Amino acid sequence: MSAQRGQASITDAFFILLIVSVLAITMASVSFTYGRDVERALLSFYSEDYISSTLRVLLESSVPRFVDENLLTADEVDDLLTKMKEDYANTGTFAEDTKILIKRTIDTILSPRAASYDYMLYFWTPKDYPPDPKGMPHGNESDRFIFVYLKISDVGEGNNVERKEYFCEPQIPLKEATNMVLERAPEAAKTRSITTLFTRFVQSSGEIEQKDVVVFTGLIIWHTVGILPGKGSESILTESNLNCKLIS
Amino acid sequence: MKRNKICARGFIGPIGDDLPSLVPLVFALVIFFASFYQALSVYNTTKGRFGLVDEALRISHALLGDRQIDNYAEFSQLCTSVNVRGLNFKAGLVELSDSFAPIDIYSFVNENSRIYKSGDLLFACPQEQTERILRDSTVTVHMLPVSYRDANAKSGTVTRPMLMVVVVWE
Repeated sequence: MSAQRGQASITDAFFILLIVSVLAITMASVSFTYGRDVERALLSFYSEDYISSTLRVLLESSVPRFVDENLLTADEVDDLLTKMKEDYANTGTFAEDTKILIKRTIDTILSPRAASYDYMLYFWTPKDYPPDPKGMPHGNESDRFIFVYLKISDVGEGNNVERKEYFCEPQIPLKEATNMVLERAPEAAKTRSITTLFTRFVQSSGEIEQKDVVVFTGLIIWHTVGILPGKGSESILTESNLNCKLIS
Repeated sequence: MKRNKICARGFIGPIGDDLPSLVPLVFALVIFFASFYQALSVYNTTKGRFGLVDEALRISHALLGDRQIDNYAEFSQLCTSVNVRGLNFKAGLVELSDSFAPIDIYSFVNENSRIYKSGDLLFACPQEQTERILRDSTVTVHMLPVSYRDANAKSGTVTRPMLMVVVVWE
């Protein structure tokens, strides 16, 4: 009888040990993951904050009037946004010098993150003037990318990373182009675009008309993983994707 | 009498009789308290880290204002509006360039290294640094780009990108 009592007692003790072990494992696993979601949310918030600041600083920056000059020693300077508007009003696009100045400014602003991040800067309008008479390939008559700058790392043999810079002219809708990056790039961060009003001079029945054009400026940054894949088995750089040309 | 003898055989007292069952019970208590202590220390560490991140965000947003710093007077005014309790912080403007080298946080805080200087004016907050950062301090760094209106350019005043670096430690 007493021996049976002893067995029941030790069995109870083992049950308690089992329950406590399960509780301890649960507590340990919860404590290991505690705050991970909050940390991820904080990092994402920080990245978005960084991007929105970058865009604002880019659009407020001054640039030398001539591309080969230094900002602090140049005789003449312009606001970058003014230079972009001036170019766009006459031609509907940016001049080569302006493109280089945009590239240089964004590279400078993002230089603290340049070592481990790739990025894409774009200017896009939902309604350009004059509308493309043939219509865009995706059916919308006049939305188009005005300018796209892509800085991406090419990971070669032996994990050698080479930073490459491209100007792109995507012939695809905005959503498709941005989703292409956001879905394939790890931890890609994008913030709300900044909206600016540009002006376009359009010749209409012999007279020059002034049209207001809304332009969205957006930036996506992501951890360097190499050239991202695009549609099908092609890379993101090809004509049917972002249609990029290497900057010489 | 005989019956009593049988009952008493092997009986070594009310605790001694259950001695084998005490071993897993004690083991269970040790496991429980060890995991509880570990969970508590993780909670406290994480909470402390979030406190630092939260403070760094608060300070950088207070210093950034509208993300444009017009001059030293504005920077100084924004600096005085920052109120931090129980933690140490140092913020400063750092020049950006294409070949930006990583910032050594310890010399940034202790020696004002890399902090932008316009003439005699050092764009650091607070100006008088009494607390030093140590190698074993818990540190959070927050960096955000900001526009700075530089009046020292040849052409007059230009707006150029700078980096606001905020270091919080305890």
